Amino acid sequence: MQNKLTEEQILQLAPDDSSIKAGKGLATGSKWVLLECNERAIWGHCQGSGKNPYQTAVDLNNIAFKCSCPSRKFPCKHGLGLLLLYAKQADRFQQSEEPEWVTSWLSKRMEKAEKKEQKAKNDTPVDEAAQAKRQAQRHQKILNGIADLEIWMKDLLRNGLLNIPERAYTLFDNMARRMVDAQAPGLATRLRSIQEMNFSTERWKSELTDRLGKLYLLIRSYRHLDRLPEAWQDEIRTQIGYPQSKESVLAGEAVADRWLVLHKRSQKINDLHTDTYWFYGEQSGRFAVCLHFAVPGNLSDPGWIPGGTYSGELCFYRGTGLCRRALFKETTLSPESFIPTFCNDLQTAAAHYRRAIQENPLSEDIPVLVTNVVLSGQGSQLCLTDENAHSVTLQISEETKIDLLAITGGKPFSAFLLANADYWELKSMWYQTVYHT
Amino acid sequence: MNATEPVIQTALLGTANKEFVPGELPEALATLIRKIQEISEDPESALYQTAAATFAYRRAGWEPLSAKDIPPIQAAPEENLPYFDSEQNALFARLESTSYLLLHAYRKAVASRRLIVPELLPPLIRRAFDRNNPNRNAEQALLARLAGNRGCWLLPHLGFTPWGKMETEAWDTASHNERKEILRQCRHEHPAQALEMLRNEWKSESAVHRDELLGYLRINLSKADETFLQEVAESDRSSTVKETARNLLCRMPESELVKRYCEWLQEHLRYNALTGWSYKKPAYTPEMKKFGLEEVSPNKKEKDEEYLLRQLAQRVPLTFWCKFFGCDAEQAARRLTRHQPFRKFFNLQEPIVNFSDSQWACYTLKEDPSYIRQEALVGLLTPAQREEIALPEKWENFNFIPTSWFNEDGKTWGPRFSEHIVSWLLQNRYLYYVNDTAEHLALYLDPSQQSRIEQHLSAITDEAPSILEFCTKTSEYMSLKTAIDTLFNDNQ
Repeated sequence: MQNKLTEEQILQLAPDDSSIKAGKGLATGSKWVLLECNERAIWGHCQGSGKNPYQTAVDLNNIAFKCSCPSRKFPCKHGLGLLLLYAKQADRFQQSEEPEWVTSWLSKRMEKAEKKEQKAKNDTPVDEAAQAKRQAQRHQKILNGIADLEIWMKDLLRNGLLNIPERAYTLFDNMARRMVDAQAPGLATRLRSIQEMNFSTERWKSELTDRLGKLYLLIRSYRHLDRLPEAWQDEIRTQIGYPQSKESVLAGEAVADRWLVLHKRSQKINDLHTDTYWFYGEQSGRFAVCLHFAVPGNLSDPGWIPGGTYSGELCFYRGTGLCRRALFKETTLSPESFIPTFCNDLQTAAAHYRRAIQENPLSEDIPVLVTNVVLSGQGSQLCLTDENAHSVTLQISEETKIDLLAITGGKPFSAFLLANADYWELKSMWYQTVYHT
Repeated sequence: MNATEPVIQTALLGTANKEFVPGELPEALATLIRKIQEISEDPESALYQTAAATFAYRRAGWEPLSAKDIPPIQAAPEENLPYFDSEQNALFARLESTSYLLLHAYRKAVASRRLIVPELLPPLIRRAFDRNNPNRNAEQALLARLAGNRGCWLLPHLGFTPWGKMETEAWDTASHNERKEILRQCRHEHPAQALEMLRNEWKSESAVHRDELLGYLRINLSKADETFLQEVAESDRSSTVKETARNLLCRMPESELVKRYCEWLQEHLRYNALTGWSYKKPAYTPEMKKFGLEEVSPNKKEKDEEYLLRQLAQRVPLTFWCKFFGCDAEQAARRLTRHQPFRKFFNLQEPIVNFSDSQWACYTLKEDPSYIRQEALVGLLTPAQREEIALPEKWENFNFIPTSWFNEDGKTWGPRFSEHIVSWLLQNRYLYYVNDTAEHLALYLDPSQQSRIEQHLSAITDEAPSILEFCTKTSEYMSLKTAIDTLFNDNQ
């Protein structure tokens, strides 16, 4: 049987907030006239406003829901309520034989899964000529898109960037859409990140010039892809937006280690929920980034706990740089966490940052671990200072600043930061060996 | 030297308007830029590539700055007291979104002489200083004792004034609502100081504000306030304020005003068990006018002389009626409930509430339980007294609990009263202010009611969502209260 899901994980499956509320309301034993389970599934009868109770079942091995209620939402509140109740009070569920309606539903699911597996096995071998043709078509499409982007960028520069802040939204959004059409989503993401820049600070002029310069460098690099070494070809293709299949990444070299979750960032854009995890290897000393995407109804977040340590093999995406995206082959939670190896001062941390930039000038948000630093400065002008009287400009929200001060009381602490040339962003910290994020 | 600045300047103005002239650059970078300019097809391409090169160059040689001119943040002083254990701190984190329960936990926790861990302090301090939080003053007073030196040190970083300095410093600049809060709190702790603050600002306040502020003298009212109140009752420009001052004077049985009312009433009113009430027609005197008595009844059906005496009857304490009837307090209260003078117009509730006489309220309710529907009387009763009242089994449309019913001492109600409250609420199909009621009620209900509410949950249909929510939340809040009482047990 699959490990029991946590309440947070279950609620991520809900299609909307009202389903969460209704599901929580149904997660009490009194609402259910029957609660049963076995190793494959849980099922129950929920008394609704109708004469007959609704029949609800959840497949535990591969989370899926079935309910006889007329709701068009999926999963419905009954499915969520049943699973929440199971997470909270599994002992309320009586071990029992599956009723016919559950057996037939699970059998159908198994049949479907088998058919899919069979189909995958029986799939005709890859037609390499067709694949190459498709690749060439995509390459041409991207080149066409890049040509448009280059003309557009040159127009911008010819006329000057001064008036960009007031028209940033429409300006970059239209070109980002064009890049999506040109099958270059990586370029679209870069354009959107420029669109979302904070144009109200003085830093925007430098940041905009820098970002546009990097974008131009990227498109020039793609034009001359064949002149680059293999690792750089992979890097540039990834930056442009070519996907690397999960299978090919997992087939690559695996790094076995105990991996500490340094930080987790969750973002929700439209209906797509993205979780970004930063990892640090105990033996390898390597950083890695793992991304997880989820749409409502799907459970994709592996639920790695920030500050927790996981043993497993990490396979890095092909490319270059000190912190690359990676995939876990499998992970197990280690009972004991560890404290990562920190840079002793800001100069050592800066050297690490420089090394990362020299390795890959296109990279941003370089992960840095540094110890023995204190918060200094006034108002919104905050810095991290070390005992050698060196400092870096810190970007943190007012709320994080207060939390940091509350925990440390103004005394030295260790930090995990994402470094950029103009500012470093504080993500997590350790105070007296206790992790906080 | 700043290698990127000329690039930024040209980029901002546009290559059509400004030619890019690199500044003084290191040899390697200068060579690279020269090469870029030679091979580039146009100035725009050259500038973009130059930008990429110069920014990469800058990043690749990036060094931290000197911290010489950056003001340091002084470290917080060490704590003198130990912290609460993890379970107790976890409970504070859970209580962050509550209001009544958090205050209850604070009150229980201060006796432990321990501190809340620093990481929990920011949200608790923020809410204690939130202008929209009606309990902020109480929370500040209690949190000051639980937040330790770290909390005190954090306040200026959060932009707040140090604990306890608010009253005296902020009084002059505070808004009316803030002044009310300051006066309320100050009246609890330093009644004489509060009186002085009020006296100093008295003449500059409007009548409505004066009336509201004066009402706070009700807290810890004593003989020391009589002179000021008499001044106000005699000379204030507003009749409403005068009336409030007189009401306050009436609350002091030893005040000159009450003594005078008693004398007049004793002089004119008579009661005989056989013939009932009678009175000697009083003459309206200037002294009566000065003491706030009106001559002419606003009701045409009431005789003016009866109105005059009724005003007096509604302003005398139970001790007067004891003397009047020649019996003990209980007998006097019961007789007055049964045989009220000026029956049609007499408002028995008024003197009871004005004197906040819980015993009088209790005797009245015991004699005539229908007074429970005049909500103010119940609020005066102690939990033990509430158990003695014959409460009605049903109460239609009892869909919220009057705030006055929640006794200020925070003592839990007895099982009988709690059971009736829950029954009356659950007879409804809709409840108002569900979350607030559930949380407030959880503090007062007898613990035996939790299982009853949970049982009721199973019988609720989807058509009564507010009742479902009420039961779920009350049960949750009652569990929280039990956890508070267990973890912050005074005896531990």
